[in-house]
Amino acid sequence: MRVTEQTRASLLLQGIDQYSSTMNTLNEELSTGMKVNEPSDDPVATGAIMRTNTYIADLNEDISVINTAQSVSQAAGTAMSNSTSILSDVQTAATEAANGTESASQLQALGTQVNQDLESLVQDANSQFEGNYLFSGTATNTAPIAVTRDAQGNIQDITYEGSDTDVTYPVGQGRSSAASVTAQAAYMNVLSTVKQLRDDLNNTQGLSSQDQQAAISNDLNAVTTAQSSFTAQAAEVGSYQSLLTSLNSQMQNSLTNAQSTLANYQDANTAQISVQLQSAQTAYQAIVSSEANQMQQPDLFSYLTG
Amino acid sequence: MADASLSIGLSGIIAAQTALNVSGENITNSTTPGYARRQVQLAENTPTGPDANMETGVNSDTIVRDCNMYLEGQVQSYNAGLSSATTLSQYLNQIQALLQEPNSANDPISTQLDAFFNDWQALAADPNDSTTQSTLLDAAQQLAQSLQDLQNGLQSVQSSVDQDLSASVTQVNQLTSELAQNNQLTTAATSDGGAPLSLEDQRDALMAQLAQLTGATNTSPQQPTATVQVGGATLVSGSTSLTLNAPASPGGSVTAGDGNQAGPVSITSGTIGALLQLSQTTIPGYLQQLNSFTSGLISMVNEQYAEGVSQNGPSTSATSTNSVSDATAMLAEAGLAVAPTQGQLTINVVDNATGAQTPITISVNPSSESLNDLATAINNAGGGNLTAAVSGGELSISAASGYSLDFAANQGTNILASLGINPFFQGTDASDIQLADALVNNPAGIAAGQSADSGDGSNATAISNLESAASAAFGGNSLAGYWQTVVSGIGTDAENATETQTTAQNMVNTVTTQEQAISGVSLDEEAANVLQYQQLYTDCAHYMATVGQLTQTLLSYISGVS
Repeated sequence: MRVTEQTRASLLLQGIDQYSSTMNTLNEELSTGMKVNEPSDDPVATGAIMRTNTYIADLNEDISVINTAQSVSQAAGTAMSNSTSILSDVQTAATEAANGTESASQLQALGTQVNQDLESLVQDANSQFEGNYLFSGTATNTAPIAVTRDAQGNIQDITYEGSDTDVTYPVGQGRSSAASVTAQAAYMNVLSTVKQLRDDLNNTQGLSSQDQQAAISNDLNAVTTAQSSFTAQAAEVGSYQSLLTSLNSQMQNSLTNAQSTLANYQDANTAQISVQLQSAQTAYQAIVSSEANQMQQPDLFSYLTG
Repeated sequence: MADASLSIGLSGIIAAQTALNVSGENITNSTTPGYARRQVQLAENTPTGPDANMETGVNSDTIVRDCNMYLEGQVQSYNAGLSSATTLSQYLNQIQALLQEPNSANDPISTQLDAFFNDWQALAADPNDSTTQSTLLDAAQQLAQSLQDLQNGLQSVQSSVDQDLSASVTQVNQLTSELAQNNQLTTAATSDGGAPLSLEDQRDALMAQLAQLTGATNTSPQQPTATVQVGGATLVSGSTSLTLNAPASPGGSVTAGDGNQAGPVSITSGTIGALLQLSQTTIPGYLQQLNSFTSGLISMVNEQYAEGVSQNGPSTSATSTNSVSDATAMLAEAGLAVAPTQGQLTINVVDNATGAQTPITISVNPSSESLNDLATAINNAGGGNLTAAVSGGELSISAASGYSLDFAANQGTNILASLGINPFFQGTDASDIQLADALVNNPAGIAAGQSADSGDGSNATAISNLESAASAAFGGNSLAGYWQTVVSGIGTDAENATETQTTAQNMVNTVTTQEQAISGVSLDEEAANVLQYQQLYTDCAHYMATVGQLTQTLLSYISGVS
């Protein structure tokens, strides 16, 4: 076959084009650290990368929601554990009052102490976290417990102003979890029981000493019952906390796996690319130098005229 | 005898000079596009007259052009394929660059879509947090803007394709008219005894350019004049050429304007073939997918969003933002972008004093009810506490004094989204999607719940689940899944175009090398020829000098004798 100077020059150009384009692609992969820089680099991997990106973004959001729910749950747990210890004080006072050995003034003193406990319990029930009431259900802007007071400033009527619907947190994949309970469920019974005990200790109804003792005994039973139902509500908050903690760690695991999946699809193998780049450069130099040498070699004219 | 010998020598001199000229022509045109090398065909002169045995020297009248028309045709055809693939690949790469997918660091639409739905989830967890509300509105506005930007980007690619198309058609008309002129000159010169070879070079160069632009072929390669056809139309025949017109509107066809050949011309190869494919099919297809995605996003979000209530509570009235073309036409045929579905519409009437909620249900049947009928139905069912009226194709529903209304219920019809009542997004597709006017700069107005409670994020939760929810509008795919298939599809198209381009380039290289083996000029060969013909010239000159000396000798003898 006849090989002309034109053929040789176009072979050189083809070689330069081919290897420049290879080196260009490898350089892009090396500089971005990614092997899929545009959809055409690998359309199938592109779909997988987008899916994994969505999954990672979803997991991150799930974890963030779980963190919020965990904070709310912890705050609710703290308030309730404070209430639990107050309730145990109340029970001690009720037990003391019910043993029938206290004088009227001693009972009044216990009544004052129980009144303080009642105030603390109302305060606990109206606890807030980041500006939202913890125990008013979805009505997070409304204090759950509203009270009316008598002339002396003592709590008279207690009403629940919140919503009966728990706040639920979307914790991912269509699941949701509550983080707290309503004051309706946890506190209303407790508060009215404690208020009744306070009133009986102060003997506001003017009962005979015997009737007062009987009333206080009843109150002690009621306090014990209220305490156990409160403990059950606190346990429910505790169960939300452990559910959220376990979800959080599950999500963190999934996130780690998803990130490594993404890296598999997306990240360039820099060591491999460096080697490929090196070999493309070598090939490029070889073709350029050999063709350029050939083109520079004297042709027949040079010999004839020389 | 001396005369004959001198003329034999002279024919050699002439042959050597001709051959040297041809070598000179070859050497100087060795890099000229379309040039095929020339060779002098030397032949012994045929003696004429009575003495047929007489020697008459060399004939150097015939100069041939080394060209294989079959290979030439192949080069042209592969070049047409190459320029088609190159054009496609170039534009598809531009288009996929607009997408910025798939790397989330570029913040492409897929990432913005994730952010948008995840912000709904964040809002569900903290519905009255003003930062979360503002973040969601920002994400929604950014997503709407990006969808509009992509739409504009695709349209600007479409218009640059159309401009290229128009310029290419102009170029084709220029080439065909030059080719017709070349045919005319060739015919005239042939009848005068032979056309110059340079006309053949020009013809082949013009033909190569025409083929690159249109994939046109020369149907009479063995004839000196070219007949050019493409898609059944004859572009050049003899001295006439057919004038083509660029598409009159985007996505149209190339047409021929002349007399009996008037009408669309089908061009499927070359640059123009690729541009037509992009303009008629590829880009409109991508635009359509983008618009399906966007209108799906709008209707899915709006349908769920309409059921929500903001923390400001129920409102005194609600007005549609999508108007019908005719308030008396059946709703299904009233020009609504999102077709309304049949089912129960529930409107809650809330007594402001007591907070008591009375749900009122109205059957909606779009194939037998107009917007006016719907208004009447609401008035009838509302028991005086609801008033509905139609004005300018828009429905407005008002609550009586002391009452307010909301739509917080599992709606059995999408009529609210279809009419654009209580919308989150406004617009119908990627050209006009935007955040609803009522929500611009009004983060507290987001209907995150199905009650006014500050901790009710139930509607936000439902919306956040839409990203991965399967939708019949996307063939069972989710919004995110559909977008992934769109992007992968564009990627596959671009990848295929690039691969086709590489294959076509290899084929062009192969046939060009074969063609060059025949038509290309080799400088080494020319050097050998120059040496050879220089030698021939020198020898002929020596021969003539010898003949001259012989004559001189003869004359000196004759003059000596006399």
